[in-house]
Amino acid sequence: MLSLRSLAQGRIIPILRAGIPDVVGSDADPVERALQALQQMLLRGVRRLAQQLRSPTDVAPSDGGVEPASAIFSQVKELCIEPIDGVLDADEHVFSLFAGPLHLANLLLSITYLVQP
Amino acid sequence: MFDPITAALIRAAPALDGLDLEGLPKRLTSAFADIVSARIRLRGEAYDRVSPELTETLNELRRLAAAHEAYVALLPERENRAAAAFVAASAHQTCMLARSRTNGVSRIDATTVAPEVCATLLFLVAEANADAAECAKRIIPD
Repeated sequence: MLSLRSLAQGRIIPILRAGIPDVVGSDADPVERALQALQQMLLRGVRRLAQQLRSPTDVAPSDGGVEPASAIFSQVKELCIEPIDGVLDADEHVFSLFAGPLHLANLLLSITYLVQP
Repeated sequence: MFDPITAALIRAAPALDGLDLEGLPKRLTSAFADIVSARIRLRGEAYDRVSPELTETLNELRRLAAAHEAYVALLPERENRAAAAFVAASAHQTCMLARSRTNGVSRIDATTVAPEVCATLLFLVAEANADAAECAKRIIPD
C-alpha cells in the first residue's frame, strides 16, 4: 500500500529502498499464503516500475537486462486465474480467481503502457 | 469543476447505453456538489440518513466507476483508455467523499481492492498526476 501511495506521489526512492516482506509460514491458511505471495509479486512489479521510471532506457532481457514490470504483472495475472474442469459442459468454462490481485495487476499493467518506449 | 481540457477528456470516454457523454462533466460536478452539501448537512450524523436521491446518485456513480474501470482493466490498449480511467477515478473519488473517514486501512484481499487504491491508479493511467497524488493521500497502509 505504501509503495502504491509513493508511486502516485512520485516518491520513487522510498519504493526502491523498502524491503520486500516474507510470505507467512507454511502453517498459515493456504489462501492467505497465496494472497501474500501474489502481493509480494505485485510489490516486486511496483519496484521494477519505479526503476523503469528512474531509468527509462531499458535493456531487453535477451540482452542481459532485467524483466520489465509488465512481465511481472502479466505473470501475476496468470497465477490469479485457474480453470476448473468438469463443472459445466465441455464448451463452457469455469475459473477460480484471485479477483483482488488480478484487478490490481490489470490496473498496474495499464500504467506500464505509459513507460514503454 | 472541470477545466475545458479535462471536460473534453471526460466527453471522450467510451460510450455506454443511457450515458450522456456530452453532459457527463456537468453530471459529475453536480454529483460532487450534492455529496458535499449532504456532508455539510449531516455533520457527523449517521450516513444511513442520506436521502433516496443521494443514494441514487451514489449508485449511479458506482456503476459509472465500475463500467469505465472495467474498460481500463480489460482493454488497456484502447485509444480512449485515459478518458475511461479519468471518468472512473473521478466517480470513485466523488463516492469516497460520501464515505466516513473511519473506514480503517486500505485493503487488497482475495476478492477486492479498496476504491482509494483503484482511483489513485486510474488517475495515473489517465496521466492526471496531480489528482493521483491527491487521491493517494486516502490510501492508509496497514
